[in-house]
Amino acid sequence: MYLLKLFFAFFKIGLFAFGGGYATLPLIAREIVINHAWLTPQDFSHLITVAEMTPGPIGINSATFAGYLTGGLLGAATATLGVCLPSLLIIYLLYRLLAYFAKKEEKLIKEIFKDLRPVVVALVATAVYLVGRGAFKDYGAWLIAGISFGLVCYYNEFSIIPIILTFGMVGILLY
Amino acid sequence: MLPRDYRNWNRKRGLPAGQDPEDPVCHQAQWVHLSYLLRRREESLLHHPANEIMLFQIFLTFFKIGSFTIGGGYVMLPLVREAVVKKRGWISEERFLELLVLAQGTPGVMAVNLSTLIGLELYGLKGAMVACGGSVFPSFLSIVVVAILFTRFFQSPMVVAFFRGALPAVVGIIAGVVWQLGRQNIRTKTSFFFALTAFALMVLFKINPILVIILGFGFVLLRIRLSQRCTF
Repeated sequence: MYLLKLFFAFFKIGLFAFGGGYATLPLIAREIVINHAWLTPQDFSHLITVAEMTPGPIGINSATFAGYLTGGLLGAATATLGVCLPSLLIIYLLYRLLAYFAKKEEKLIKEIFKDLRPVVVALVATAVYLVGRGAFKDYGAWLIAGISFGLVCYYNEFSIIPIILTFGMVGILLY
Repeated sequence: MLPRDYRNWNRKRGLPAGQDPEDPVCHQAQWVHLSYLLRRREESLLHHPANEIMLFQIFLTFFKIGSFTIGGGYVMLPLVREAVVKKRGWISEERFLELLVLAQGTPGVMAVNLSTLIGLELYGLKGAMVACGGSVFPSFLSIVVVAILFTRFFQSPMVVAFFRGALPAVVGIIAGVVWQLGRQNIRTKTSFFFALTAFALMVLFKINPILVIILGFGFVLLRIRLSQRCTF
């Protein structure tokens, strides 16, 4: 019964998280901390640090962590499932719907998506802004960002994961 | 029955397109027919969907992507692009951009939406579940480990220093992807203006990306209708 409640709370959070992982944070605050009082405000501030500093999307991390604090391992699994399930359902329905329209109006759909590409580029550019807000604390950070920007732009054969790991090591050596 | 691709097959081997390689009578040489059959069998084995991309491979790819998503879901974007489009060629760049619009235009965690969509594209519903699970599992594991050790881990200067180095690198990487995508897709003044408006709406006016996508969708539809490129 308790797990079911937890599941539905996180299902709701996943359903109404408009605008990516960061949008889950205020929802968790309202639903888990204020409405159900499963977490204290202090837990919540821990949650933000942990969610930002572990690998994985912020939304998933914060849901898993909140689930773990409220219900242990089982709670963590329930919360993760609850946050993912609405996305899975909505995406599946939308994909089928779009495939149906694409069959009927193939040219139109293709054209719309082609014209929407500048918006996609803008969306990715906002990611630079979102991640970059907390990243630049000194000149070294700008240098690192500049080098990795150059590597990605002009050397196609460099893969991304080694770049991240290398600069992480550089960070350990520098700071 | 004619095989669907026999026209291409004929063209590749310099045969007249009208000839049916499966009909031995209309050919001078019987071996052409035989080699055609052999080749078809080979190709059908090679391009069998189960052989092309295995479910486990999808899981592994997204597990790897999920474990290196440092600093939030948007970091997943260049990783997915590299793994799925560039390295393995599972989907084309255009299709990736279309899926990106869908992923951003639906509620929920963007990274989960994107991996679910790509799984759906590659292997149907099963693929969607596997890709979603693969991208979520590393974050689940790491959170549980961290929760057991709790926050002592994050007070260690090593971890803080690692992030001070890795985060700017991630920002640079995403900026590089923006540069590459922009060079390919923003070529006219109109599209530049379009992108700039969308960016300003989201960053300066804090308008929800889903709303921006819906607005853009309506705007594009209106423009296509006005320019009479479609008749309905």
